[in-house]
Amino acid sequence: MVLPRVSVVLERLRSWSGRAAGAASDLPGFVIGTPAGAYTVVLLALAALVATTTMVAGRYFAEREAMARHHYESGLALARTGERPEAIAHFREALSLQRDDGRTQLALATTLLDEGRPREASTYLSDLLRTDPTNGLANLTRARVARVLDEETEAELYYQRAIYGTWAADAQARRLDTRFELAEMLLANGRRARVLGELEQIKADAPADLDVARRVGRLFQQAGAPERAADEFRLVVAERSNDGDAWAWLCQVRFTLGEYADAMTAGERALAIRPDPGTVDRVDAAREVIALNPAARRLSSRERERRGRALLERVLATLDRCLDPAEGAASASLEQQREAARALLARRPQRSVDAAEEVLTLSEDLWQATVGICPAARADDRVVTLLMTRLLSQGGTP
Amino acid sequence: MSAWERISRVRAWSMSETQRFLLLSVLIGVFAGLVVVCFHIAIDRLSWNLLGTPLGANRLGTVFSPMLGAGLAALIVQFVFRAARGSGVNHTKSAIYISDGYIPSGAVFGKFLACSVSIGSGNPLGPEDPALQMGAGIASMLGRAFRLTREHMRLIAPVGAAAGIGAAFNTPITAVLFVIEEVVAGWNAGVLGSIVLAAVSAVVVSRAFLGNEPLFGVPEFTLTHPSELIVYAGIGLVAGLLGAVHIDALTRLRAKMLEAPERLRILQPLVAGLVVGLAGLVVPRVLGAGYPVIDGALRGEFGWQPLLVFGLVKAALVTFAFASGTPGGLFAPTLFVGAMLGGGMGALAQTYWPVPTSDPSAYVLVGMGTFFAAFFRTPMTSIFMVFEVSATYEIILPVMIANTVAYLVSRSFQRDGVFDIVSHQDGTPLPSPEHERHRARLRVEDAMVPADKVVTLGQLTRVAEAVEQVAQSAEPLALVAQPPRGWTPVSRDELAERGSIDGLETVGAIVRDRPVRGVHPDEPIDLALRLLSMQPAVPVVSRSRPLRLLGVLTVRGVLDAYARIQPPG
Repeated sequence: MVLPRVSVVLERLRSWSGRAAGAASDLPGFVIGTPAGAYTVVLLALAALVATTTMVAGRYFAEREAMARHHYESGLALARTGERPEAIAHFREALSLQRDDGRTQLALATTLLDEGRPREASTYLSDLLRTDPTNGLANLTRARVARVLDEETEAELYYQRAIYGTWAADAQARRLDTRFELAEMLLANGRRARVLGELEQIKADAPADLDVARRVGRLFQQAGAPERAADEFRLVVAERSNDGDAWAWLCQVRFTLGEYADAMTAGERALAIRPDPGTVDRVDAAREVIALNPAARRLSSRERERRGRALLERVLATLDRCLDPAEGAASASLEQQREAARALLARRPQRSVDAAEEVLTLSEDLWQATVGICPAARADDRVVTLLMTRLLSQGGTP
Repeated sequence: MSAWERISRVRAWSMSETQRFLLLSVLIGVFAGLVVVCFHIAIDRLSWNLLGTPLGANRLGTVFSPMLGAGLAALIVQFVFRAARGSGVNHTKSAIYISDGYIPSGAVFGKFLACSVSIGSGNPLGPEDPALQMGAGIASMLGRAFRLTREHMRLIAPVGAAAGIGAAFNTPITAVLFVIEEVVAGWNAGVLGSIVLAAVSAVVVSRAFLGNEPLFGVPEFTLTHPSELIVYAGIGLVAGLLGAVHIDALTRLRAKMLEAPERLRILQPLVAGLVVGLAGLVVPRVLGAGYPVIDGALRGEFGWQPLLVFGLVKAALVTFAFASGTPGGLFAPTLFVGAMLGGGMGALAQTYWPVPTSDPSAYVLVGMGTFFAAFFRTPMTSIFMVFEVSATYEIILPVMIANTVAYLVSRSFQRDGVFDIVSHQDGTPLPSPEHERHRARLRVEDAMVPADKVVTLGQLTRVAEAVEQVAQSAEPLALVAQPPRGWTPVSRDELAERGSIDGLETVGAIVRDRPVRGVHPDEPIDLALRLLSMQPAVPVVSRSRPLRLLGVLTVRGVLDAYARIQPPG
């Protein structure tokens, strides 16, 4: 019984709607009787529709913007707590509501990059950079994406754009940081000359900044420019005498340069502030080298000869350890040098400049012969290696 | 005379019909643009409230909203606004071929209400077809208000249709091409300008409110290696096959559902909506039109497995929803399925193709247009649509290859297009633009009798001699040369009659005052038919030398030619 009643109701509804639709379809005909009337009605309808659409659209976009903001902020909060997939979903939703929102594009790209999806990140960054090509942060993020994708040339390009781009806040600091990041990338890729160029530019931009000097010094050091590194660390320790790290780094570079006295001084300053095994090792080695050096200034001839004999003894021991008895005797000339060294060591010390010179010369000759036939000898006695390298390269005081 | 009458008589109101038509075109575009903007907003707001953001966040809404939305929308079109039922494309074509441009106003209101409810509640259908119909309906209303002539009223609906699609897609070129390719089925010079004006006006209005951004954010595209074109052709092949299958499945299911008693048909959208809701619980990305998902696919958000799953599930749900009578269009779902298909195959190519390939997003873009070409059988529209959406010229080559392959494959497996089949199912068979395009167009040379089989006479030939020559010929006529103008036909009977009655001695005297009318072999046969109504035969002459006779066209010859291409039965 219910179904027939329903069908009656539906039939009446259909009949009513048919009449209403018929009347509606005739509306233009009986209302608009004249051309002027037609235009008037149409224009009035147009005005009403424009007004309605404007009002509706205004509310709609306001609501869209609010929703987009909500999703953006939710995404940021989730990203901070490390919930990246959830953050990405919110950022995507925010973007679907406001596709041209640069900050959301950037946040999404950054989170995607952190989540290990660089290609997807690059699409959002490309959109952003198309509309805002000088955006410093966007270019920096794009450079990082390129790094992950092993696109070195692209990365360098975007780093440069970031450096010269616009930044919302702390522009100077952000540009410096970007340059440092670029330098680190170039260093990792073995492009030493470019690294040095960038570091010089950084110095030019911030000549008096000690924190910058520290970072630059370290990078100079890693790039194989110990002299420049030493300059930077000296600058730092001159103003911050209690910077233990700077002293330790200065010790390191001085040691690399063979300036053992300065290395020892710097190392001792570092150890006084913050002990570390590396510096201890360097200071000990420097001390030993200085104590063993027969070419040091203001030594008496007796002391010079004593040191020379000690050095010769150690060189001879290195050679003896190096030569394999099973291989048979060394060459005749080397054997001669060995015999001469043993003979010299066996005789009584002579307190003369000539004797000291003779010992030193023999030590040098023997050392050169040793490393010539046995390169591993360099690792045998570190102090002897350091001292002999210094003596042979400069012939001066370490 | 009243003030109103004086105003009405002002000359400025009295425009010519053509001027009114052009002005109307702009107005139609503006109205359609505004309505489509409101339509778009209505869908979004319903979706936010019923499904939540992101899509599917409201789980209860996700399950039940599509069902309730489909049911309500079906009620609206079945009982309140019946004119809003069915495909917008077919309605527009009906307006051209059947109802002299008349589309009831109820179609506009009904389509707006029903489709904003059905799509906004999550049903996997698109807003473009409803926008097309609303535009056509608006055009019809305005045309009646401005009292256009019958001839112009018939053409007003496609103008509105172009405006609707243009505003919905934000693609004026695509809108124009689609209407020409699928609705008007030809480059009708009389209406082309109006279609363009309306589409442009609509897009201007819609961009004023919704912004200038394209429908999708498309990453940069480059063709990495020429061998990729093979992959694109492969996408075309697969899309063509799937397109044919999709058309077949959708129309067969629809036919089955239409067989149900009318009082039970309201249940079909409810069931379909429930299925959509349950699927949406598992795969929420298949709900609604799906544009954000296509956007994500273009950016490489998904791997090939999710892409293919989305595509297949969407295709199945669309088939069910559309066949059940849920109001909504097929454009957006077709783009969605194509995008997923293309992206999935692109991701596979990236893994297995022996040389480096483009980013899968390129394949997503190409896939969109390819499946569109296979399903809607509008190859030109699909090519330009991809180009317009992406603004990337480099994509044109892969798109052309893939779309053409898809179109040809789809056509070879499924002869009739989806709109043609649906119109037959609805009991209003309409002309098929696709069949029109492929219909053999007869030319004069296909029907003419060669010149060596026809008797040719000089003006000084005696009538008796002429009668004797014609009697021996298979054709009961002769052609008389009338230099330098050309040839004039004269029938056997006329020769005999005029010769005996008038006592004329030469054939020249018979044809002296007659006009010389001829055709060229490459001209369409329609042109010759008009001349055949005025003379027994039409000479076929060379374009460069009018006196060089190539043949003759007769009524018998024309009928035989038509019979050859369309045998009886």
